Amino acid sequence: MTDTARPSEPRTSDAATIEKLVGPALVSRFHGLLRAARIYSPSNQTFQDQMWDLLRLVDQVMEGEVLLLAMGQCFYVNGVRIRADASQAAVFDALTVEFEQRKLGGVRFLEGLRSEELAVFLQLMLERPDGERAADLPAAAAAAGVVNVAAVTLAETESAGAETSAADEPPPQTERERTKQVFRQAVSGTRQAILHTARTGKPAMRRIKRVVQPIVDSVMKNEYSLIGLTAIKNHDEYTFAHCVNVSVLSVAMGHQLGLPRTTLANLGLAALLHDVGKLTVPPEVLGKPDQLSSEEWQLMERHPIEGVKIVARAPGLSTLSLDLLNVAFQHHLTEDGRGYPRLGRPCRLSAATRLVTVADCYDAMTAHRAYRSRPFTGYEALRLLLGPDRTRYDVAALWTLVRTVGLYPAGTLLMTNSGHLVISLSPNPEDMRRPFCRVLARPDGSMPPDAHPETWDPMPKDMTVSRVVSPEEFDGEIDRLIAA
Amino acid sequence: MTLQGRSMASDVDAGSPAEAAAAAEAGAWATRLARTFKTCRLYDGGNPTVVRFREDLHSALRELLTRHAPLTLTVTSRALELSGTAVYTAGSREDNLAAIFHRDGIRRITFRPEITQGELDTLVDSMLHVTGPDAGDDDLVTLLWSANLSNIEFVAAPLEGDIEGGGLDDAEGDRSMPWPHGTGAATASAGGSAGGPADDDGRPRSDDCDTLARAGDLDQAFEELESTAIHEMERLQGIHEEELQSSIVTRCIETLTDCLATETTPGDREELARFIPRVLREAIVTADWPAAHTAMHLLRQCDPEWSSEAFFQGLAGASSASTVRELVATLDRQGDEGVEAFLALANEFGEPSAEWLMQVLAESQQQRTRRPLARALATLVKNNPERLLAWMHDPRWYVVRNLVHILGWIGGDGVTGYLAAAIDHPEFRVRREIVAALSSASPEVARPILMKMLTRAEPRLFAMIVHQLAHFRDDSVVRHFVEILRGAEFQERSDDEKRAIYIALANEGDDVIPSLEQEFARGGLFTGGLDLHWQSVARCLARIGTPAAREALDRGARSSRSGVRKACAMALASLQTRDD
Repeated sequence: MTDTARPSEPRTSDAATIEKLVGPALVSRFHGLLRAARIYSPSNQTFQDQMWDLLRLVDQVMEGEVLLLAMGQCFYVNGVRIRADASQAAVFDALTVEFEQRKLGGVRFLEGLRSEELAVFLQLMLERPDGERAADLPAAAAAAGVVNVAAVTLAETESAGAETSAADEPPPQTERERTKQVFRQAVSGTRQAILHTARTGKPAMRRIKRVVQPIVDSVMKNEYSLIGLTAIKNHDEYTFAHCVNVSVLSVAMGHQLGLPRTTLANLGLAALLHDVGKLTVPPEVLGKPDQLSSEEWQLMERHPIEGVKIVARAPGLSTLSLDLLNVAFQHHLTEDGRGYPRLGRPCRLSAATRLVTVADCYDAMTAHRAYRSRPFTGYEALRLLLGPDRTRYDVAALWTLVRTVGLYPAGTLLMTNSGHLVISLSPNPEDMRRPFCRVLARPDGSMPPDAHPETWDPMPKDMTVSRVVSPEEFDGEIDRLIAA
Repeated sequence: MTLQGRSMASDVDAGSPAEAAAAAEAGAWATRLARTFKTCRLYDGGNPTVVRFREDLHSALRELLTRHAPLTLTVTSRALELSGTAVYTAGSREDNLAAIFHRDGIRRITFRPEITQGELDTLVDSMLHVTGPDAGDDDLVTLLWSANLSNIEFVAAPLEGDIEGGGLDDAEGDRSMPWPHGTGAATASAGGSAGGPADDDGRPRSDDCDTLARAGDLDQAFEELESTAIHEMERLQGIHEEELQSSIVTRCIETLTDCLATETTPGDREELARFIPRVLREAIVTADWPAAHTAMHLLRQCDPEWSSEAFFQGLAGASSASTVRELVATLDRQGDEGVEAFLALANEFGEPSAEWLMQVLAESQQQRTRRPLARALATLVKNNPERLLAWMHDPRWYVVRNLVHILGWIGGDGVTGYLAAAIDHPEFRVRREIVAALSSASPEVARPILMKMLTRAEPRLFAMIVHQLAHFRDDSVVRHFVEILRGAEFQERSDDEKRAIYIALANEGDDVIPSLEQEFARGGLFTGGLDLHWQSVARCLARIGTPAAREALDRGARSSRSGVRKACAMALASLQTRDD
């Protein structure tokens, strides 16, 4: 802002402040100013007062720019959805109408905005009451020398709107579709929650809770349906899918252990944020395919402490806080104090940590790594986790993992004694050696068509797995088959 | 917020007559829900009106559900709809029941016929919670999800808060994320063996998760695990159970202690120093004194400069009466040992804990807790009693009395100014405590205050003040007592008051004999009703018992007034008896 004659509030990027205080005020003030501009001339004191109020609010949340967007039936300020209380609903509705009539998505305020510019912009906006006439608003503003406030067109908000519209997408018809929707929304929600955390340094607890609740419900309803989706590794947003995977696996493992619903939710949350401390590690260190130098490794080893610092910023003190702290701090430690951060004495690992550690290792092993030709398959990862070094993990946690992903995790290619080549889709809790499968090739070499897939629910009792087939021997897209 | 709303079913074509009827009934119930919400907002939960509104709301819903079950309402920002028909529309921007659901993402809400009163109450309570002043961090969806209501189902849109990645664009956001990226995968040629993908040998890598080197026979491992699974699962469940049994504070301290045992930086410790007060607070409000002690030491380990001043201000400000009452109850249960530990902790915190101790003292009902607490407070604020003065204006008389008691314990002339400020307190027990507290002050300082109090004192306090003033043996006090004695209204005073003055004067010795003797001449020609007064005066002289006093009595025994003669004769007789 260049108009500094009046006192300004300290700047904030705190989401809660924007959401509850500055955001609603900014929406109301902008609407009020628009109304005032209809009635008063820019020199009128009432108009001036309202404009100063708006400029003060904009200045308070200025981060290079302030983006006020109307999407769906909600407003967003700098990406934070504004919670309107009931008394503000009418104002929100009215401003939504103002934008909709002009086919605008919102307004962008830039650093250096002057009151004169804002007054001219509002006048230009009012002179263009519909979409057709508002189309030239950017050009008219530029011609009038208005550079620090601009209209955001609907087209500009479409990409972001795609996410919010997913919020109100029609309910899926089948269980499988429902599960996919849960997973998709979990990844999307996690993405936003993690990015929010990266920006503010505080975990977005309300948002993360909302991400985990459907996961818990889905796991409790049909445990294996969601687990299958964690085997997909070529996800567009694998960055966030890994968090979701660890969360899903941990929740399912906790469910195997008989943990109650709210405990599962806490576990899922702690799992989702277990590596949040890595947000403080430089990307070039995180992405380095080569060996890390000792300095770089020191940075890596600090991420559990950094995680503790971040989760400690979440409000309150509850069993959830404790799970978050424990998992963030302990997930690279062993009971005898090995691992990092270097403790040098035995450590009492929490039950949540024991589960998350195993889930994390399993999902990390089965993920792509730049220094690995391909990720381990679930089967290979299990062979390593359950191999001679399994003592470093909690045996019960390993068992819950096996019960969760199965002896032949989703995506494992199996050759049966009958000569069928099948792909494991989900575990069979009755008999871990006979999973639910999809037939890829029959003994005669024929293949069931994609349109009419042949599935075994589960593998027939007269068949056994004779061999686990390496992905290198198979010329198909395993992820696509799992996702189908 | 007022939530009258409008039932809309009658205004809208709701299709078939059955649908219209359902919409009308649902609308009536939604309006009832709005009214109940408003009533619950205004009055507390135990209010009979609130109870009745809640019961009526439940019975109305049960009745509605007998005809139209399940009842699914679709939520928009300003309306509730049944099968596309608006059954409730916000009357104004302040009367918007739908907004409470909609703003947190609830889009559909379904009521099942078996719905219980408790479930419906939970819904209303959750609505009250999220719209109340202490809404906390959980939204309506999370509250209802946590409540796990069998007969109220809802569909919620995910919280899509940070559009545009909360300030980072996609590419930048993903690039800075710490987890493996799907797109960067498998850059090497696919040359792995069936035993697993090719892996470089070197460690450490950016992938911080241990990739174990040795694979085993999975079938065999599975069998081994299966054979011990029941036992191992029970063990892990046991760990979880044990965690549930131990307090959050204890476990949190354990984790923080571990954390601080690693190589933490000053920045880490600074950050933890911002968190630990929460643990300390929880330890204090749950009366876990050893944990509070440890938490305080951790805090000082993280921040040697830490001052408990702000902490206790926050604690005193944030503690509700019920929290304090709960703590006091625990303290009472813990007995002397608990109180001792509590006070030892307070002592370590020093003066800043005084406010908090006052809160506890205010709620404490047991003498054995109150007494050491007051004593500890006196020690804590000895050099700065001003910090408790705000409590002097507390509406609870016993709190003011506690404070006066503490000031009395601190004693000395320094506190008399604070005591003087409360001499007009309406409660007798406070003023009585002030008189007692002034006993530790010097006569020069205490006297003016007591004299001031004496002029306004009720009988039971009057005697106490007189008694205390008498100890000062001061001429001005004696003169004042004599003035009282001579006052026209003296005979109107209560026996206790009169007795106090007589005794006080009797203790003054020869100096007051002339004044006492003058009383024998009181009354003029009509002396009715003074007999008892003369008897008391004569007894005073007898109590002085000096030769001068005896002479005065002798003169009285020769008085022309029979009442005086009689009184003095009796006094002389008692003196004689004493002498014998």
